[in-house]
Amino acid sequence: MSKLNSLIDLNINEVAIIEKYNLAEFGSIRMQEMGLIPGNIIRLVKKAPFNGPIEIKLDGFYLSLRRDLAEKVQIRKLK
Amino acid sequence: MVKVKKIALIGNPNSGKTALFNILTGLNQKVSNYPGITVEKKTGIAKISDSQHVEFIDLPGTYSVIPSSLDEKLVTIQIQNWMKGDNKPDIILSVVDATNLSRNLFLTSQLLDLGIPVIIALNMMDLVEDNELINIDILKKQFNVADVIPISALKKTGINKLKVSLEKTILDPIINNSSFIDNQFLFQEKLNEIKLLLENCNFQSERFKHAHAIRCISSTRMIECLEVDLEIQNKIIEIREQIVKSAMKAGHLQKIMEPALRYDWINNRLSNKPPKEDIHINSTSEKVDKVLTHPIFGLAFFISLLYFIFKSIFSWSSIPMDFIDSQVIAFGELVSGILNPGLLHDLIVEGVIAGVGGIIIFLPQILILIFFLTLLEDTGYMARVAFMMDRIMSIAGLHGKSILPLMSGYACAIPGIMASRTIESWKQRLVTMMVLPLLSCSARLPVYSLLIGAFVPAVSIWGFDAQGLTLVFMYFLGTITAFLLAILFSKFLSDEKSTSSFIMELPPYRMPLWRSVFRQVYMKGKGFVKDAGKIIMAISILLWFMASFPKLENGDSVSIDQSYAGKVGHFIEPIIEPLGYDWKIGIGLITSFAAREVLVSTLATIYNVEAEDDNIIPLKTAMLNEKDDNGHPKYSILMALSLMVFYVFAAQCMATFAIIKKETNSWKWPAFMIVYMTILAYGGALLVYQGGLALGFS
Repeated sequence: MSKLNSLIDLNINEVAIIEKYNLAEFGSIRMQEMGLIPGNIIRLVKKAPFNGPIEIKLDGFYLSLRRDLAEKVQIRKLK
Repeated sequence: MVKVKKIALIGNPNSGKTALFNILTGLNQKVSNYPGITVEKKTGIAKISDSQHVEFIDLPGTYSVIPSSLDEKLVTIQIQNWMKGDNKPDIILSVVDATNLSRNLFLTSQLLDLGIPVIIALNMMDLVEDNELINIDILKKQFNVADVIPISALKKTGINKLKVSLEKTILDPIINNSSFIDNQFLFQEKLNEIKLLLENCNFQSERFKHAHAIRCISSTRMIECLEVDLEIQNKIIEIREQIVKSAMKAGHLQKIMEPALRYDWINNRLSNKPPKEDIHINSTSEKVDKVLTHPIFGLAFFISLLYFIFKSIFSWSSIPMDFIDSQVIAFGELVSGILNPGLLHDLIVEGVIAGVGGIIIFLPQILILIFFLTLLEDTGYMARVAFMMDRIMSIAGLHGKSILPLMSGYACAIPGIMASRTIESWKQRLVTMMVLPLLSCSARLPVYSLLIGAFVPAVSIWGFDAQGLTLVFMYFLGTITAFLLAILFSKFLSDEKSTSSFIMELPPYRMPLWRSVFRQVYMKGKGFVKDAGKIIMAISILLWFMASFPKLENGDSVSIDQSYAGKVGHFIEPIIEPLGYDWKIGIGLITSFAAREVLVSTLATIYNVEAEDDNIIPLKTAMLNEKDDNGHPKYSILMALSLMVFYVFAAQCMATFAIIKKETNSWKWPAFMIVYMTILAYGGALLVYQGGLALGFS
């Protein structure tokens, strides 16, 4: 089993499974409502330049989020 | 009379909810003043069968009952009020995007706890590649909803079936009685404590109270939405913290959060759910975005698009504008021939027709601008702009979601301010509202257009035409100033606790629904003519009166110089002389405090009152012919530029002041806006005019 990374550690087109996030505050709840919950699989699609937001694909749709949120999500890379 | 049955439409943004509402209600809508984005409740009465009339209610699009912005909060508050027994709808029509089933069903499953019959309108079924993958009957049974009807709001299919189902459900309501709350909650005792405190909310449904208690544990935002005493809120927050702490210690935080619990339940229902689309598949939109959100090509495309839009505003509108111009003149002559000479004749021809005509002529340009903005939004491109611009907006303390309100500001500040309700953080929203009126709205267009058309020569500079370039510059000036001031304001406004975040769906690119685009253009155009028309008509009449009186004893008019309006103009002339303006423009500055475009109608009225001739003189000609005491042309390109810069910055719109007062609940913010914008306007115009003179222009 590979080690845990955060969502922003992924490279373009890498696929990962969401492990957990230890963050009870606002922002995290909307991510979860959008389907970013443990066990779900995502793919990193794009990183906007100059530390802009990232774009991911999950459940057949695309979502963009800022890096400060993305780094709270712990993932495990899938081969 | 029987009470009209109520049906509420609730769904995610981009689920096609508003399109379905439009189909169901046709033109019988009581639409809010600011159509476009659903920021206020819309209702419409429609017939669903020969004997049944119902009222449809369209609520803003939302992802969850836990709100993360003001427009979502409106839905939450509405639902809470229903649960208190206030105006509860008879049916909830849950609009679901079939191409995105599990995420859309999240909201649907929240609605199942309300004790109101739920019908799922499964929209965009035509886009689901293999229809077999979604089994309607199983969906209906597993989720225990009254009905599931596949529809396509785009192709208008399934609508009749939906109406039949609505009528059937009205006669025989089926209410769901199973949901995720039936599962054991980890901290049942603590949950019961919260439920006990929720008794203060007077929610009538036990199931809703239970689900709401779990939501209060999931997010403090939910607790803030409860309309109860602060003391009770604090007690709930305290219990929440205990639960969260215990759960974190045990390492299963998500097991107490609504989303994970609910998705668990949903995914169990969807046991024969469609196999998940391969995560590696690049959708068409993703392929298109390889270019359109590319750091270089994407930005280049966006800038080219803006240039194309502003160029089209001028090139496409010249024929209809000439046509309207000639019609106004012909109409004026016609009326002039019918009415006997006298006061009434003068009032109608010189006051009303010249004034209102001076503004109607700009309708084509305004419609073109609204058309493009609607198109950008409806195709899904605006979300990409938000994605690309988020980083740069964060420098100004804003985020990508401020882009749509700001871009709407190019059409009109008011829908822009309403659209800013989608911004999560109050501070960011306030900054967005404060700088929004700096973006040149369509009411400035008549002013720019008149001055550029009259004073900027139609020559080419480095292959760009000088008139178009001047226009682009004015838009650019407002935009860059808005950006710089946003940086400044963000620094000074006290920061609040809630951290701002940026989570946004990038919806698939879709062909716009043309009838919906044209409907919006029509509604907004109508709004402009109605609202602007009313103000302009009133001001034109008042102005005509002030410009034509006092009369001399023999009944003849005094020269406009000696009229009431002339006196006011002369009074302020010393203040505006350094900017290059005379007393006639001074009158225009005063009247256009109500609305910018009034400058044009004001000048039109003044010149027509002044003219000996009974026919209507085109304003452009009148301004070019204006001579000073030495017989030289009075107005120069320098004056025109100074005046345009004044209009870029000046706060001149009663409607904006009123809406900012409404949205911020204080006169402090509109007052602040008027002060800072007036200083900018005067300073900017002074710099242009005096700087220009110093450089040897005249």
